[in-house]
Amino acid sequence: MAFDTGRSPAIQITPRQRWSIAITYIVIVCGFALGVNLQDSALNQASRYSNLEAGIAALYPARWFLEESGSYVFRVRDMAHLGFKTVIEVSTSPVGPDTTERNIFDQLSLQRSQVLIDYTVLGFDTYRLADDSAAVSMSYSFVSRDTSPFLEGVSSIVNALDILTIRRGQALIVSFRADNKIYQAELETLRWFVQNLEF
Amino acid sequence: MNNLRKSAIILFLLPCLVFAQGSAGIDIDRIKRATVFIYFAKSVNNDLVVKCVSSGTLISADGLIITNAHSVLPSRQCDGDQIIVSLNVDLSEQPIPKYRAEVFNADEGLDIAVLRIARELDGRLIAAGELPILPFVEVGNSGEVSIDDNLILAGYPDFGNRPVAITRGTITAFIAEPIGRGPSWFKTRAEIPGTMSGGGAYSSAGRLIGIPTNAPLGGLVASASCRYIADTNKDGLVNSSDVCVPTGDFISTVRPIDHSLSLIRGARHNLKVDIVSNPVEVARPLNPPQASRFFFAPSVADGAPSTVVGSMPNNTNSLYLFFDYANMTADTVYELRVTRDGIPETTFSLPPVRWSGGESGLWYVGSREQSWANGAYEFTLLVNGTSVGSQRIIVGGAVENRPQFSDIVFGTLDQSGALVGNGSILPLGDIASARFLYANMRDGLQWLAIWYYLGVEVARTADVWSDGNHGAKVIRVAPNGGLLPGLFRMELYIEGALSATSDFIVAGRQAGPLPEIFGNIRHTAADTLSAARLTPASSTFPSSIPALYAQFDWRQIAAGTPWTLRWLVDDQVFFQSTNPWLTVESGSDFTVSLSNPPDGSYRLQLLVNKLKLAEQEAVVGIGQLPIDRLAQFEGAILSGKVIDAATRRGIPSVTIVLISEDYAASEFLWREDQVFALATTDRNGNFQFARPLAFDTNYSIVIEADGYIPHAADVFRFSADQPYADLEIVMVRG
Amino acid sequence: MDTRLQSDLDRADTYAFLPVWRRLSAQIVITTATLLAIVLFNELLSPSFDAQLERLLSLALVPFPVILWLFVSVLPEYRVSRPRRRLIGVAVVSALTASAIGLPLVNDFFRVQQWLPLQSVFTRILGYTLTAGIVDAGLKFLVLRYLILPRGLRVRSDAVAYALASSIGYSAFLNSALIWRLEPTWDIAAIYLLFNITVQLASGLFLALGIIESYFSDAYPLVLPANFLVAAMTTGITSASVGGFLSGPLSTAGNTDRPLFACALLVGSLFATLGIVYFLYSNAERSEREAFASQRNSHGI
Repeated sequence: MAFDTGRSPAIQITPRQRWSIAITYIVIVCGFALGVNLQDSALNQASRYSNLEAGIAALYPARWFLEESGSYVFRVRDMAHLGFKTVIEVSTSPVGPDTTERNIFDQLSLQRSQVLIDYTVLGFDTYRLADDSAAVSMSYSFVSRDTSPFLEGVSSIVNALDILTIRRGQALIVSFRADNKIYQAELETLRWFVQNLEF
Repeated sequence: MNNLRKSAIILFLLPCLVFAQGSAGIDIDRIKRATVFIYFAKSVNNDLVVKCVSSGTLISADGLIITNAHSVLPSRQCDGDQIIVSLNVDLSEQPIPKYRAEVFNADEGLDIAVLRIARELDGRLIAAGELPILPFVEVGNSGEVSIDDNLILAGYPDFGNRPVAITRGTITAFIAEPIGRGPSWFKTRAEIPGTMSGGGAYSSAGRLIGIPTNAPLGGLVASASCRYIADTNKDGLVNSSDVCVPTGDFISTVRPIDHSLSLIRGARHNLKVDIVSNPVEVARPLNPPQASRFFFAPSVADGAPSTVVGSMPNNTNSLYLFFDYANMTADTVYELRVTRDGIPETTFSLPPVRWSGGESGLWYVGSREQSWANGAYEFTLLVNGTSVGSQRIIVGGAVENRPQFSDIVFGTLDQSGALVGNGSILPLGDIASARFLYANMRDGLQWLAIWYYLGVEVARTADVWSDGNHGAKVIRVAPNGGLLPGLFRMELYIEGALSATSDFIVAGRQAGPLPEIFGNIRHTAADTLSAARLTPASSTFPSSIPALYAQFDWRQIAAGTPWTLRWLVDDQVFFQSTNPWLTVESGSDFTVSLSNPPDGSYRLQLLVNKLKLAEQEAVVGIGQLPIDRLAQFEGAILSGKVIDAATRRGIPSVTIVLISEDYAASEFLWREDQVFALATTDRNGNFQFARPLAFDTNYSIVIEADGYIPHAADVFRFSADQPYADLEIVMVRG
Repeated sequence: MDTRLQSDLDRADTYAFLPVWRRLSAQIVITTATLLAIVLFNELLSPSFDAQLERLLSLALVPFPVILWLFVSVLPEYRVSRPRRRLIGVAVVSALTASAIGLPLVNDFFRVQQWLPLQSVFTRILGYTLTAGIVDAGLKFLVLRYLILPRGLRVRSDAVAYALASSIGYSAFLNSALIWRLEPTWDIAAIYLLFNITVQLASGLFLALGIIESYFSDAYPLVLPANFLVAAMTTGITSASVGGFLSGPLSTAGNTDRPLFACALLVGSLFATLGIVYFLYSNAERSEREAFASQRNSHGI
């Protein structure tokens, strides 16, 4: 065991010590900033999706699960999330010359009311797309339940937003669904997605 | 509680596995999981009143269920309108209502229905692809079983109060009726409660080979067994004023699965046939069902008795009771009680079952390749619980060389005097001929031939026999006005006793050995019937057509003549329906349609008296049915629990990704095409891959959950001797 | 240790301060031995506790290192002539800082639980270093900077003693928050305690070393920040590694956790840090003593 020896430091600290502390503060600030940057880059890692047939290209969060076999052009889901898996789904629908956005939303509502628990339309709004054009959005909610009959499923209240725009004779619908608890936070992911959506 | 449940499953599983080893790998666990309990209920003032209960069996991963038709189709006994499906969530507990189903197709007479799970229990539609993969059993071949083979019967032995039950028995007899090929029924002595009707009968290889079937008489006779299970009239009491749910007697009959293969195939490929041209449904007969002209025959040839006998010798192993019937319907319940020397003979008796023979005709019920002990047998036929006739026969004694006629066939004579034709259908003309065999005849015996047309005698030939002892004889009839379209019958008597009888149909015009009744079959693809009639016919069609229409012309077929419409896809029957002809005698553009047919080669066949008279093929898309990846039956069931290392509690909503054999975990890019199956944990952390994993195939697993260190592992491989894997996966917080 | 070079005055001055290293070692040995014993006990006997009892046992572990520290390091201070009077203050302020700033920053601002566990090992180390490491070490440094420096720093061992106090206070809050929130089993609670103590103590010791070098040796200005970075990195490496050590590999038979592996990592890290810091501390001390002796010799004392 060593002895405690040495002199007491001066009450007035030396310039070296002052610099030490200053540099340490700088290191703390820089480290913090790098941490924020690392977090930002990790959370915003993206994968690219493109579908030449549908004329759609998009960036979506890396490690989200990409599916193309359903009644949509594609959809991505955050499978790592515990609870309802946040999903962004892109689908297209043919429209006639007299079709309005509201017609399509109503048709979607009729279909969904048949399959979703407690499907409720919350309201309509406009949504700014990447090219600053206006799209129409419909927010709604429903209850999601794990469908496996052999397990004790978990129910979640899901908030959702459909963004619809009609272009080149077809309607493009971006559907975003997330657990009610994280919906607001996850909206940022939707904004980022829409900003990077090409169609 | 959860541990208890898990222990119970394991405790249950162990004996199952032991049993499986001794039973050539029978997956009892899977059979139990695939067995469902069915409520048929009626909506009454926002309430569901249970009208019938039965068992059923899942036969596909996407929710096809096979069961008895009598418990899911509205009838006098059971007038429900909602089918509720309860699944076996925990093998040791009662079934839990989970879904609503719809009848996809059914044969009321055969008492088979194929249901499709279509809605959640609360009535919401299940979107395409959203139904989880369900456990199902493999449909076997009931034609391969023999008497004394083992049977495993699965079903619910009560009104949903008890877990699924497995009963073991053996096949004690085959019962034959004039429907399709092979036996109409398997008889078994296993004790099967009535509520197991509609469940599954499995071969020793574990394949579904039949459906335990009986038809409850509830609503038809006052004494029928039933139970009051709910206060349906809301008077605060559960008593005889409420709806009584029929239970049915103990089941001893199994409907072989082969009779339902076309229904299953149609449902699997979502092939819905609509006989567009049939006139509105004919009113059901109001008169009570009748049966008459009871007689016995030692064998059956093309649906007709070979000969008529009054007694049978020692060592009889084949005997059939024939009778005429009328005013029967598909919801008629009939029963055959057989006694030997006054003692019930259960082997040859037929408990109450649905009628499968149409409104009227000639019916038989009997068995072959089974020993009939000597004795005095009495056959009593009951219809809707009431006796409608009986007939006695003595079995025993030496073989008697009695004079007899047998093996009648019909045709026309060619120029050389030889009988030509197919034996049972004649074209319109002037003269019909019949050839029959005779044996032990003596010259001088009185014999008589009577010809009937639509049940009315049209000709009679009475003579003294002068053709010797043995041989074949041809006789003719030329009724006044010629041979008109319709059903003819001939009866042959010796010394006033019926010795042989057979029916034949007259229809169409002469065109070779078979009469030409149907012709000009053509196919079109269109959205509507009117469009189909305007569209030019073709034999090839692109994929994804809205409907395939088939039209044909017909000539000279009398109303009431039974005819069969059969449709095949890729050479396998998916629709077959035999009905009386209901429209005019001759005409064109009889139309049947098939909605949303997938790619495949479709062949329409038209038959009368089981003889194929016309057929035409149409090819849709690539001409071959798509492969159903979910149809894989064999494989390992992978289940388990994901737990938090810190709390030792299950983690809900964790998704386990099972990567297909083509990729390693390190190559996984979170794309659907790389995935074999997904499973998500429930609120207790339990998960199960419903899709079985192929044996001896490498899979990889990736598990990522927010807040936890991910898992990625390769070489998940299971062999046939390890059909179950129950993983405990520990996740550590990062 | 050779003390012949010291004068009587020095010797008296030396004994006026409570020796730190022996008590620090005792603290570490008793803590790790107790927590390891709990883990071993659970591993070998797999006792089954009622959930409530298990929660109580886990919660009871939280004050254990603090009480031990009070008995081993704090109370004896009052028996020497020049005690370190701000030990409890430093511990309390560190705990409050962890509660008010540290934990919210790491959990709610950086949300490390959400994205770091799914990253590669390198990114995890970097990520934990730049988030939890920087936050924890930074807050402890700030506590020491404003409560101790420079007046509270009389001898080298003061830095070590106050760093220990800060680490104990900081980890005490983290332990209580973790166990209260997660409700882990008893053995896992012991591992979590060991983890937090290891991480905080290791980073605290490197911080102390930096302060010592800066304040007693008037080292180059980069020495303190370098030690600070090492402290943050210690947190990063340990945090990124312990999960992997605890989590067993997945196979066809499932997997299990490996508490003993994790314990081995933590105890190894803790003693390695202790050894390294003590070695550097001793070297610095020896150099200074030698310099002091040669100075006295040259003056003919």
